[in-house]
Amino acid sequence: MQNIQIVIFTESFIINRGLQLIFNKLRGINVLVASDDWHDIETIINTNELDLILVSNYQFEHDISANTFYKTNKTMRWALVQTNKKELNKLYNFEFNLKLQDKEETILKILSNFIEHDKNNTITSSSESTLSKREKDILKEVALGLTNHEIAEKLFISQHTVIAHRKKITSKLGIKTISGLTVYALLNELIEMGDVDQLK
Amino acid sequence: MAAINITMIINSNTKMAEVIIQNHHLLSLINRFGIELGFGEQSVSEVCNFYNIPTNFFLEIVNAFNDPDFFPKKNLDAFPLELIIDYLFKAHKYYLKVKVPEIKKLITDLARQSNKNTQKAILLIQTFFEEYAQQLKLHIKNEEEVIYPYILELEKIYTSKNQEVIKAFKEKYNFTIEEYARNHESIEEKLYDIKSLIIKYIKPKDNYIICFKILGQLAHLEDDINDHSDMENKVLIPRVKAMEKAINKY
Repeated sequence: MQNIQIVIFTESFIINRGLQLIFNKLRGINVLVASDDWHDIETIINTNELDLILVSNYQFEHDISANTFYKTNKTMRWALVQTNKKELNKLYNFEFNLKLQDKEETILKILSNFIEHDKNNTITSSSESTLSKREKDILKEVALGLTNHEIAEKLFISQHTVIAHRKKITSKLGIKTISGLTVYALLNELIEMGDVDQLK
Repeated sequence: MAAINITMIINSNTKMAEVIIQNHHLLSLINRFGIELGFGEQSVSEVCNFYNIPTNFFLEIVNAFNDPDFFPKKNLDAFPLELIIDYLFKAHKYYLKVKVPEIKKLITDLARQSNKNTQKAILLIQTFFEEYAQQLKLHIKNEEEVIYPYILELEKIYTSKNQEVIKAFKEKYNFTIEEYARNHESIEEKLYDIKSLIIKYIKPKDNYIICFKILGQLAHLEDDINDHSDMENKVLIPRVKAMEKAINKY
């Protein structure tokens, strides 16, 4: 289950906490920190894989470090929360736009929409959680302890494809580790006890 | 991260009993500080003084534990890393000497009582947990024998400005905290997997009570280890990075 990792950066403690509370209601998104201090955000950027920064228009304009980061780092995605009436330059690119007077259901709708259409989103509902034939093949090899490279060679596919399949498998099963996948494969009789050396 | 819970902020005048009553998970925490139950009506600072624990440090840790959104960075900076590391040592001991054996015993009980249908699943989970415990032990061993000594020595020398000392230090430890920070996640993931495998694939008709106990203990250990990693990721690592930066000028 790959959550979208976000940080919230506005000038107000009340707004930060409030947004965090609303965001926490949704599956698929995870608030790493909500702060009025860019240093906190920076710490997260340096130690985590961050997907999105939700920034207020005030901070975006007034915090030089944040603004510089926007201009120099082209891969980070941003969203905006409008905390005052001042319009930002239209050239800036935001994934979504929240306003302080938005109702809770409006905010939840915007967010759900964003999560659903996110390109990195691998969250699946239970209806899509059975593995395909190909995914089972890959899972077998993973459970037997093969590396991505070895699996790619064995099944005549690219490593990139192997990784994509593995992401899908992890998200469908909600199992993140190789040992966990091995137990799953054994329980579901995709592989035999004798095949595995990892789990003795 | 859990939804925001309304947690009481604990201060030096709060009664120690109240601290535990409002969140019983803090029992393991006070145990780590060597504090025993039976403190009557004494306040946090009174108990801390009795046990010779810096009250401010205790409050930071206990509040960080109590409130999942607590971001201790700013205040914990004030404490020597020695104090934090000593706390982390105690937590390690608790995981290896108390928590892991407890869960192992419960899983063994479950395996003993299981019928044919669930036996295979339980055995697999048992092996998985053994593997996890082994990994945790190695991880902790590495922290205690390599990482923490590195940090403690770095803390002593980073202000020295003595080129010889710094050079000798760099030669002795040929790594940076960055490398350690990178592979710090997988341990938590294993625990998560064990928990969800039990929930999804064990049907404990006759022994659901043991199963509940195991899940409860796993969740407890998971929470505790998460807080522990928070302490390392939010407090320890940023400060070590700053110190590394300071000596890299030489």
